[in-house]
Amino acid sequence: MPNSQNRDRRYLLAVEGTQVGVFERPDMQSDEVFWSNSLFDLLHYSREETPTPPFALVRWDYRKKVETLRRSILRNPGKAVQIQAPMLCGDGRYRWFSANCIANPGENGSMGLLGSIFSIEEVKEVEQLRAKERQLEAAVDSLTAANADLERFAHMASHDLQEPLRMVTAFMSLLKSDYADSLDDRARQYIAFACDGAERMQTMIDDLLLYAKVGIDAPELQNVNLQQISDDTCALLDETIQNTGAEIRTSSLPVVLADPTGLKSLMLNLIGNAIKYTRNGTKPEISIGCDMNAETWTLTVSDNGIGIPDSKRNDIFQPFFRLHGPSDYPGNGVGLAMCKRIAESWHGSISVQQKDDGGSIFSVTAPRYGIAPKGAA
Amino acid sequence: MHILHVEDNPGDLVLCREALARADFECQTHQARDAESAMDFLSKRGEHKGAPDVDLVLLDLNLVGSSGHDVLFWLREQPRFRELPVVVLTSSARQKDVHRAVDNGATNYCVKPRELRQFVQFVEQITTSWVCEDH
Repeated sequence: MPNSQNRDRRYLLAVEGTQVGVFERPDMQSDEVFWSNSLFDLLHYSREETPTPPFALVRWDYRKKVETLRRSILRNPGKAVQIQAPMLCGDGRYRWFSANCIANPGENGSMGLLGSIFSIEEVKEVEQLRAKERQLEAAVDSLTAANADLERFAHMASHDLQEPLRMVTAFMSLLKSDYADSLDDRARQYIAFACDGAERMQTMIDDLLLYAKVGIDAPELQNVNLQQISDDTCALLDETIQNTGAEIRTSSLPVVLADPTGLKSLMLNLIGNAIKYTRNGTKPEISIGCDMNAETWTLTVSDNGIGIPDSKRNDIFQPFFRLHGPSDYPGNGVGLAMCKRIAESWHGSISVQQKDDGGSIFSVTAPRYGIAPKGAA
Repeated sequence: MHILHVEDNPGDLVLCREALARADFECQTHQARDAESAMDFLSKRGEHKGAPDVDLVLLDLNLVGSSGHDVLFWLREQPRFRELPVVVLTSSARQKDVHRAVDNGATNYCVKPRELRQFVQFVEQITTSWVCEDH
């Protein structure tokens, strides 16, 4: 055996112990290819299989690029070129590999190609993960900015809207008080319509302001006694509860991580709604519960009311969305939108489900121990 | 008793005048529509040469051109106006505006009432607590 052949074999042996595979295609005119054992392993093929030229395994979307590189390699013998591409492995999966290829002219004028291949799957995975992370961060940043813009806009708009409305209200009341005697019934009725409109507009602006204020600053979360908040809320709603004969049951409620102001407002809205949206002639029956698991707490407020159609389950959390006319059930449609913002300010969520008996169950879920602030280890 | 009302919204000028009348408060109200004319009136210069001494200033903050804050700052810079009662009467409830006005020496800060009834109450309150006791 010539010395050079011995040397080649030694080189090959040296490669076998590593994570690097070697291939050689002695003549580009022929399909005959040689793979080192390590290349079979690397590409997940059994050693009994007939090796194919590695280029044939390159994923379709990288073929064109790889083909161009291959032509350039063959035109410039002696110059090694690195190619990175996903390749089809024996188990049917594509994995990322890097190949160093070099043209090898044969003695008889033929042109061969040889190269080494190693896996860059882990590197690519990390890269892809980082890219996704960057995308997510960018999305969060732009969302935060858009949110802040929206809050500023809502705040300013509602302040600027107050001014002209204040004029309408003030002068309408002046007209009503000073000129009531000189006006006929029709004029008085028109004034009443105008006053009513202005009053509703004022309530909407006030609600919009309240809505815009929620979440401007991240609330300081602390341990809050949900039972206490629930009792306080029921005390606030006492008159309504008495008038409607509502029955409110609470199973012993735990201490949860939330901000007390937000939680009070959320409970007031949920319990208030549960009492308000009842069928004619039915006494409201409401149960309030809270489940804990290892990671989250979930508050549920369940009622026997008119329910919410499945198709509107998401819409009802939009500001100023209303399912019913103000004459049926008064309100502005901001309460649930505020609840959503409050839950989100705790990194939680709110949802509603239709009960079999027609009522609804509102669920608010939030992390039991909060979440680590951005940038924390 | 002379009150200078610095306000660029004619509606608010009327409302305040009505409120003063309803509160049965005997006074003469003078109006300035911007900061410059307010300063001229208080300094009795230009077209306000013969203006009377002012006992109380009602000051809006959002004026066209120089703001009410500028007027307040200018007033407190001058020894003769250091003690003059100045009630800020504005639609802004922003903390930033409240702090700035108080820092600049506002005697009181009121957000413009929404209804005339509240306006009258406001006038009654300022005329008793800020004018009668001091003058």
